[in-house]
Amino acid sequence: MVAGEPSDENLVARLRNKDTEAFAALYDRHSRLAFGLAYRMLGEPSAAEDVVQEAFLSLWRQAETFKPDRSAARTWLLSIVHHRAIDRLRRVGSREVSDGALEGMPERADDSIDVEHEVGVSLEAAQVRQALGTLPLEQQQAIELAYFGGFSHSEIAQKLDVPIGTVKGRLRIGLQKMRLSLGQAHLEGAARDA
Amino acid sequence: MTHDEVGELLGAYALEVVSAEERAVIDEHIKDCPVCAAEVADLMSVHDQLALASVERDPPPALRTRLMNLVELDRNQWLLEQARSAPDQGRPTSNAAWWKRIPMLAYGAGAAVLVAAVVLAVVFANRNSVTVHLFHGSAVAQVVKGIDLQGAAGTVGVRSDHSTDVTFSNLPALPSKLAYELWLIPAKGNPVAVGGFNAGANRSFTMRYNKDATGFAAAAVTIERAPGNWPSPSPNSMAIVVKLAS
Repeated sequence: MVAGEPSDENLVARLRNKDTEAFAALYDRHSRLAFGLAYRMLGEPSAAEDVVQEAFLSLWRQAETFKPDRSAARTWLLSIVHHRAIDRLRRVGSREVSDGALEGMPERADDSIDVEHEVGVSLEAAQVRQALGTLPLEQQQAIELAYFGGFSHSEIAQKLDVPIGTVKGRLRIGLQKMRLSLGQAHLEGAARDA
Repeated sequence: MTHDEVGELLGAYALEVVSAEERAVIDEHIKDCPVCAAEVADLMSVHDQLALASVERDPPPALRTRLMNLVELDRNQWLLEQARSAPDQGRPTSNAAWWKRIPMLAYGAGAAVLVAAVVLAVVFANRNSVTVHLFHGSAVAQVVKGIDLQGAAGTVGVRSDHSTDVTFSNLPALPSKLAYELWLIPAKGNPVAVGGFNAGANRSFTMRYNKDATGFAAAAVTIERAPGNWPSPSPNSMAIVVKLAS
């Protein structure tokens, strides 16, 4: 967001009065990330397009349910995209657990990446990628299968051929490490800004 | 499930990949366990950020166009519902006196028969010409089948000699039994008929009326069923309130 532009929360508040300009501004601001998320999860452009359309229409029609004290507007929107994509994945039915859900995984982050200079990516996004990419591979895989693939812990266990308890541990520890990493990045950012 | 067993599941819980039964147990547990509740909050914050790990991609340009059309249609429907329900909610639906239900104009009563109307609202803030935008969109087209107001636009301006200039472009010619009628709507009281008109062959209409629009809160154009019988005592058509002046 450029300084002087209305915040996401302000724009969402305007949606309650059916402000189409506010809607256009939100779309222009977040549609690339929303589409990127949907595409990553569904792997098919037309399905991703459907999901993003549904998500933005939900944003438009349910703006009055948005609680700014609970989450950021962007988080809310992406959560809608995520849930719609999960619904679609699960609606497809009995997905083959052995299919290539891992094929879409990005390459592991290089520790040498200077996140502040990663072109075209917000600092926050780069930090999340870095936090995820630097996890041990088995933790990263488990989290990606859960979040982007929509697989249950038992499906992940089957897919990775490990006990379900191992999957639970990988998910928890992986998220805990990411939390620490992102918290540290946040503190460093705050220190730089001070 | 013990505290430790719940703890083992908190990562999966935060990622929403536990079973419904497990979720119910954990939901109950964290109500009384601040340690687990705090960890869930921490892990959920990571979950909320994971979407950012995706690579941004340009959606198809047509998606934006389609969405804007859909929300514009939604907005028109919403405005119509607002106008319909404001003061007379609960009454059997009548299309009467729609101008009283425009949110910016709350007052009075009236009677009506449906055809359709385009309302363009404009505050006559000064004597200079005020540009207003006539509604255009599919909502009107749906109500009046075959009449496509897409692209229609108009201005209503007050001149220093107290006359009012009205100009429209891209107005479709109406069937012989229908005609447009222009109304000035005061903040209180009934609309004042200015005059009837139809678009010419070039879809435009320009007229100077010997009526001072100063002090009126809004202007409206309706599509009436009674050509040649102007001015009507009150608008005989339902309002599709589509754009209120700010």
